[in-house]
Amino acid sequence: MFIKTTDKSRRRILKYTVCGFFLGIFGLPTMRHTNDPNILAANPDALSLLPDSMREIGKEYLNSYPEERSRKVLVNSIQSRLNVMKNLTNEPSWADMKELITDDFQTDQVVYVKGWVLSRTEARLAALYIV
Amino acid sequence: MFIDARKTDLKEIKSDICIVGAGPAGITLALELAKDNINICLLESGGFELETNTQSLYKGEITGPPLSPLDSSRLRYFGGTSGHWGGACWPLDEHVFEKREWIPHSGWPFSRKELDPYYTKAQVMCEVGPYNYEANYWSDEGDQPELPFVNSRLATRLYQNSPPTRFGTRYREDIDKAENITAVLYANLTEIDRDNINQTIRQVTATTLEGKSIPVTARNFIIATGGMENPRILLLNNIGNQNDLVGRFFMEHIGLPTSTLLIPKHIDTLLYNSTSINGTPIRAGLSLRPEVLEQEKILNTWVGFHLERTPESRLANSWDAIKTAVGNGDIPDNFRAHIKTMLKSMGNILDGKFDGNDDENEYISVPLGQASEQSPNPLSRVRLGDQLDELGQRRIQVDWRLTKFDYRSIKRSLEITAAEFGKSNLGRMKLLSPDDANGWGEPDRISKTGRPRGAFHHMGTTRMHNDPKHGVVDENCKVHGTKNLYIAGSSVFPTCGYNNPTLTIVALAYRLADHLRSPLTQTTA
Repeated sequence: MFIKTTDKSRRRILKYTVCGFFLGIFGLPTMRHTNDPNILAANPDALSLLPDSMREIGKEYLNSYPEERSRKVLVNSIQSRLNVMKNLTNEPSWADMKELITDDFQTDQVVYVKGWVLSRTEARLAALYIV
Repeated sequence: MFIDARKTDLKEIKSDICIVGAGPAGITLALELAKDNINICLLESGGFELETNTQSLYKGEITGPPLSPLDSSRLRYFGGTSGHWGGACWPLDEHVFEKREWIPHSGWPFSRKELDPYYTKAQVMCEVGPYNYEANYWSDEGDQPELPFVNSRLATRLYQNSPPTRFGTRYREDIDKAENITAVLYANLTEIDRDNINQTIRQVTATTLEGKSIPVTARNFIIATGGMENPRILLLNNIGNQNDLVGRFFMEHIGLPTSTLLIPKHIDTLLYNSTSINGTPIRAGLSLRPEVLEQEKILNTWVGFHLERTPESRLANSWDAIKTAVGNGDIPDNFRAHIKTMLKSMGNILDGKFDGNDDENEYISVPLGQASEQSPNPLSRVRLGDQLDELGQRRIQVDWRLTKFDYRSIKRSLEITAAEFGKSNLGRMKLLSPDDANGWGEPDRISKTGRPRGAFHHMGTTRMHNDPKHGVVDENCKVHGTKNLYIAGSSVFPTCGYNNPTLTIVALAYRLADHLRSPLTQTTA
């Protein structure tokens, strides 16, 4: 099942990015102590405060995988992986996303972006910021 | 007793066993064999201190990728290169001794199990703790957990730290007191006199820099001069090289600028810091499990963390030192310093706990280092050059060669390590890529900044194999084609693992001593 690439669905996936492990690493000066996804989801403009490293990773990922340079393709790719993994019929929870990221590492779905060894899902989430 | 070859009146020396080289192998052999009430002659090129003119004999050429200068990585005096040894001690992993089908020229002529009793003795000689390298043992003893990997391809592997033992200082008095050891200083081996018909060594000649020569006769001779000098001596005397193997298969432990790890701050990494447990300094790191190496068909790499010494680790180490000493009825060295460290560390820890900064999402950035196994490569070699030293003998040329297989193994090991951190949600790794300024060069085009570096571990150049077509020495370290010439040291290693070689060098010395004292050996010689 493919989700529509509406702003709402994009925002939900992006919400998981912001409060997720990956962004926790690179950190957001304004968001370091905020993990409440509802707060973040309610303030999408805050995403513009993302550090350059996140954008750089997204950019480098798309340079390596230009065929994914589309919001629709990226979101559908993530969703289809989730569907395969969990046979989801509703929208994914953050726990689902974390499980997908772990599964990426277990199944060698890793990518090398600016030297970082990342889950492909993480890299796609980063790419979503710049498409 | 000690004799200065420059000053002695001795015209010749007769002994049961002549050992050339007073480094860790030579000193171990001398002290062990002396227990049998036989006469030992221990020849050493240098004196008790480093001297420029003697050290100069170690100069040579590096014709391949850069290595540390040959007269810097080796020390030529009583005690040998243990004079600047870092102290890391661990046995070679069991699989290193096995024939690994994906690694040409791999396999030792005996298993690790056979060497275990000698490793136990080597632990004492190197002044380290119990012969136990199981991570879970130390983790339990020190209540310092291993990283909580889930179903991981990685294993925690650790080494123990010797003080480090400076063999020349630590065992000088023992050598001096042994009535049946004659240690001859300033004595350079310049000639080996061989009876080609009987394949026996009749005598060797020891020569001072001033030109004075002393013949030494013995029933058995052991060359223990290090991974570069051992093959040099054989090549200079045209011994053991009937199959053009002497000097080949030169191996080092490969170090490269590697990676960075981002790990959550709340993960306990104390075991992976330089820590002390029950008075034994240890340091843990990560390597791939043997079954993973077989599946991936690669060599192994050990990844260590360059962790900051946190207040917690300082407190733990000082407390361990005090606890261990008091448990033995002693007061520890630097007792006041330890108390001061503990008080300061406790203060720092308390400050950290009450500053409100306990966000579990904080991460620390940890530089990682690695030590990697090199594959045995016949093109990587030590040979004689055209330059002559002060004794008129040809210096060596070292051509250290790495292969794409070596690089691929390192890269794949690090990729797997990084994936395991991700899989277990323990962090993310950044690997230097070949494109980075400090990255890896191709084996035949090493950049100055991206070059691999060795670890002063010179191995493999008189490798062990029972078939003379594949080795210079047999499983008892006897040089093929001779009946009474042996080699001691890391030059006999057929493969090298990633483990620092000193403990294995000393273990093999004990094993050789056992062989030499067997009645059959004595009859044959």
